[in-house]
Amino acid sequence: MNARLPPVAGEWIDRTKKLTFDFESGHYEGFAGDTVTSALLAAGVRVLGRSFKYHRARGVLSMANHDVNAMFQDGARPNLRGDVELLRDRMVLTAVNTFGGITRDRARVLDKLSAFLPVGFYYKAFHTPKAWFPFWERVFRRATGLGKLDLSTSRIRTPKRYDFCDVLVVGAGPSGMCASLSAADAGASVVLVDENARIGGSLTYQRGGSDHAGAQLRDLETRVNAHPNIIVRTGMLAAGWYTDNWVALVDSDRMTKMRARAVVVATGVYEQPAVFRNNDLPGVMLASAAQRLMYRYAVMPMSSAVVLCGNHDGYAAVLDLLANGIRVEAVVDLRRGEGGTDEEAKVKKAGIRIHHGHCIYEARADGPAVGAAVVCPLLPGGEADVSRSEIVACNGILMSVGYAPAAALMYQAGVEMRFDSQVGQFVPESPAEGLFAAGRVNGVYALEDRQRDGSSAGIAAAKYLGLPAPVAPAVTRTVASPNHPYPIFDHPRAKNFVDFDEDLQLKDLANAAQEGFDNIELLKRYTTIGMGPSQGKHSNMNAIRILAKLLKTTPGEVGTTTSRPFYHPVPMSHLAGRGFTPYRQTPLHSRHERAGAVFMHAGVWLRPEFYMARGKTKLESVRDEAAAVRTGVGIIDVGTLGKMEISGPDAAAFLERIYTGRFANMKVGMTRYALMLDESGVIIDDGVVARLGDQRFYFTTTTTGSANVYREMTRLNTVWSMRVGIVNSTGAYAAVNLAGPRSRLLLAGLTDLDFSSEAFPYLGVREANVAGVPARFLRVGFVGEYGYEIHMPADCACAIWDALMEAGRVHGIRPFGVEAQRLLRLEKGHVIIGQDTDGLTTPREAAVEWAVKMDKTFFIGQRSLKIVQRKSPKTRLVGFTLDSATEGTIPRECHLVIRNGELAGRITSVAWSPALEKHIGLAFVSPEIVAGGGGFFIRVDGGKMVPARIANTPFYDPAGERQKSAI
Amino acid sequence: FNRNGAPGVKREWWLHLASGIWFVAERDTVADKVLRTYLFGEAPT
Repeated sequence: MNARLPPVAGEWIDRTKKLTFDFESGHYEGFAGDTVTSALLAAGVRVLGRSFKYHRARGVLSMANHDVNAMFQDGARPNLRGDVELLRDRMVLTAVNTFGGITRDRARVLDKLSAFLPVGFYYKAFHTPKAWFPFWERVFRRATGLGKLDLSTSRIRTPKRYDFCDVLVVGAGPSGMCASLSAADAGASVVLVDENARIGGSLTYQRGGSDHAGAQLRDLETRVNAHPNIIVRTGMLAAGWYTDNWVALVDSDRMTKMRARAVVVATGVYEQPAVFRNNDLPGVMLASAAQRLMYRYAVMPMSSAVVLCGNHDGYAAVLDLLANGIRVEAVVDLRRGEGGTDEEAKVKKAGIRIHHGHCIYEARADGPAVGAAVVCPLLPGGEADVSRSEIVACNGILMSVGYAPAAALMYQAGVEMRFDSQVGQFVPESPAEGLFAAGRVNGVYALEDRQRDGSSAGIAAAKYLGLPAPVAPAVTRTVASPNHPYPIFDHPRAKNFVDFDEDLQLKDLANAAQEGFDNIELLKRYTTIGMGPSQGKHSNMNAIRILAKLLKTTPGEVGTTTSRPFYHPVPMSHLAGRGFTPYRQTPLHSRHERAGAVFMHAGVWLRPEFYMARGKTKLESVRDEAAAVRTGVGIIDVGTLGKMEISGPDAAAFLERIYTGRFANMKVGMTRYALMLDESGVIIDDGVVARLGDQRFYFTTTTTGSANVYREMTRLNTVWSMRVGIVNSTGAYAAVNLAGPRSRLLLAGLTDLDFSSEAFPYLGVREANVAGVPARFLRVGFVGEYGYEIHMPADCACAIWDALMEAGRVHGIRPFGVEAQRLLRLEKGHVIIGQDTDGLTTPREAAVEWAVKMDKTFFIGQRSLKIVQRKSPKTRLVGFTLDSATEGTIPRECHLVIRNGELAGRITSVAWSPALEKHIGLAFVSPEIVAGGGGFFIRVDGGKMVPARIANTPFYDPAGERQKSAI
Repeated sequence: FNRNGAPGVKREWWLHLASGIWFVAERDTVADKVLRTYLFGEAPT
């Protein structure tokens, strides 16, 4: 059956461009400008999809981007909404969520079983035995899911676009167009966005059988398009509102982040369905859906219709049907008296039967689609009088019973919404700053009123921006409420759907409320109403009405659920955008690459984890690197450490306030370990402070802490107003640690500085030229060997590195990475902040009390430490070793310490020590373990218990001799 | 140190990163509105 109408004025299709496409097993034709749904309907296809839970046949509902039961798969693209997805030539489409195709869907048997699948059944029926739940979960997910994802699809990178304007008008209906014109007339730059392919909103389809709307549309469209201050963007959805009028605009290609100085929300309304038995049959649709089909796509929605009215707009729809040659069998008006509008008079004059005070009690199927309406008079209480029912044959039912505001952006902006019982709708009560509402979303319905309301909002927006604007026109609400208070009818055999996304029936909501889920947010979560792909756009309002009736209260008292961005599904590719994770390379990066480094992320940096030696494994390479440091000489890039300079009369005093140690008594030319706490006494950073002069210090921070430490120091200096200047030279300097017994020998040939232990003692700092470049030498030993940290200007780093490597060749120098360094420092029992400590670790727990000078007058964290130290410690960081005979699974970081079956700590570091020839590590353990002889068990992966024993640290060279003497 | 996280008017530290200037902002965390800003020690009376 061909349902295409003869050419309709203003239609969106281009009849000169024919397109062909496949849907399931059929081959069809359509026109350019058609949507998938309109082309299928024009070809006589009425069943477009299967429902989510019961696999019932479904068709068109809204034609307004929420027909979630008519979703299609096009190759790798799942869940396309046929009501808005533009048809392309040679598309091959299937319906989503079927077992064996749309007509033979084997899962349609679920419809017959629905009595055994009440709301929430899976919570109740499948929780025992627990072990079976994964099986049931797979069954449900297969039975209910939507389209199929192609996991092999290529990655799509979608950059975001950024834009700004004076006034953003959302919705290009009559009110939005008028708002744009009046704001633009006042001199504002206006961007007018609309999700439809063309502007005009309801003027493009709600015509009432006359050309009045069409004439208005042509006039407004011409003026909007001609205005130099207005930019029109169609096919673009305002999907979310963020602080300061930052609006996410989504089109088919990308997201645009629009910063608007003012926003006019003229988003209009969603027409709402009535609830009666079989209201989901293909052919039962919203009146506006039928009007969109006729006027945008020149498609006959049906050939003979029954129209259910709860408002005067239904009569306009009847006139539209008649104007396009569709037979109207009857008008069923829920209202008792006559409306007295011109449209109603015209319908009457056309000889159409009007049943006032009647409802549609049930739709009856003929095949898969609607074949008749069961019409009943209404009793005084609003229920159907079934004894006087009448069956009216038809192949389509229109529902025109009311609307819900498309107010998501306003909810997100924090606008208070109030249920206006006059309009029967939630309307904005208190405006948000720089946000204005106009038109039907504002509760204004008559066309002339909406235009005035739009102008008024546009003028208000211009005034808000400080532009000179005329006095806004007064706005009245001249028509009766278009929203019927309760277009919902019970039926003993149910199948009266409230939510088409999730197949929720009236009784499901009643059951949920009866079980105590009688708050709108609880009701939503238990029944999942409004949680499907259309996010309640056609179900939330009815759910609120139903709950209000069950609770004997008003929709205003029940309230609405929270509206969050995005209010409409947005493609993942739009959100993901570009991968943008910047990282830093040290000045020596090229040298590491050349030496075969395998890199790892450390904070914002890329560091060599180890250098892969030819023909060796990672483990062998790491152990060789460690051995080189212990027996010869190694070099590691430590340029990622934070590097700061502080100078001024108060420099020492400042350091004593931010660090736990003492620095005022340090001699020039010496260094000292420094520990930083936060106000609660928790360790947050450590480093080395070197005194370069009376009023000048150079100090390091951890790799990850440098930015935060520097920032906090500048803030503290603002508060304390001490006479110091702080410079962050982290990026300006490179640094290496040259470590090993042969390090002094190596350096001796490169500089004229006296490197003897007498002239340059352990923990000393000196400045000297190396390879002709000025550098700073710190004689410190994180890895426990004789060694130097060499800090040098970043741009000379490669030259120095090359010189050191060249001079070190005879000594067997090897670059070593983070992995070997971790092992070497673990042998020395040195703590890594952030690995061996966590967000609760105090100095006492980390066993670094020696670095804390409690007798100072003040340092950050001192006050908290005094309080904490009065309590007995809960845990302590200790060294431990495993028996060298330990086999099987070796404990790893974060494995738990168990004592008498109770949790008693965790492993923070563990490694095999070549020096001790057994596994060593650090762990937090309970004081009971320390007191009880030091033996404990570690529960490893798989549950096995591995015995361990507390050991003194350092594990290696306990006296620290090796740091002090060299070859 | 003993910060109160309950919604209301809060005095907060803000940093202008480009110039490295710290300032104090009084912000209503319920309405997410900055009420006033000033340099440390220069609070208007």
